[in-house]
Amino acid sequence: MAEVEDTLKRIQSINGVIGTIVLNAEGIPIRSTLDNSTSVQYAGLLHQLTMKARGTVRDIDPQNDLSFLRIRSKKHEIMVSTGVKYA
Amino acid sequence: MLQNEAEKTIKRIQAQKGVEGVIVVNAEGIPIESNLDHQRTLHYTYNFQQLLARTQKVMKDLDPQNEATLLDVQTEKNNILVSTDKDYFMIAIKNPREGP
Repeated sequence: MAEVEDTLKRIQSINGVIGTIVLNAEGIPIRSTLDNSTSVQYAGLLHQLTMKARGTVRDIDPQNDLSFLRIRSKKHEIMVSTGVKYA
Repeated sequence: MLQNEAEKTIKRIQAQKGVEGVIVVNAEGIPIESNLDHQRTLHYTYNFQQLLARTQKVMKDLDPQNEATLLDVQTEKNNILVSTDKDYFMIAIKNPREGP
């Protein structure tokens, strides 16, 4: 858990980072620098999208897997890192 | 004039070292340009169109005023970039080992 805290602090301290959320394997936010409702909303939607992206990657090549997802939009950029235990 | 510019740009990207493929899809979801074989082109087009649509829905859910412009799918083997503007979108498949 300390490792998660350190990583969270490190990322959050980077200039331009608005928010950082750590999700567990079930897609539930376990740590966040954003308020609860925002965290839950982002976690829910992005967890599902990440699952879909993973499915797409596996569909194209069953031997391949998703490692990172980045969504650039007009207003900001969302980055999803998929780890073994956390995302 | 514009078509020529677009074609030149696409060819330039396709010629880049490390770029495995580039597919341009029109508003109807039809790939109008690709340097991959037909089957792969259709497979990628269908799959990533779905993912892009889903992504846009997520972005709109989070903020109705916002929308995605680029989707960067990094996998263990390669990198798939889906760039979108208005109705068209472009898929670029990059191999990380080679190229810039």
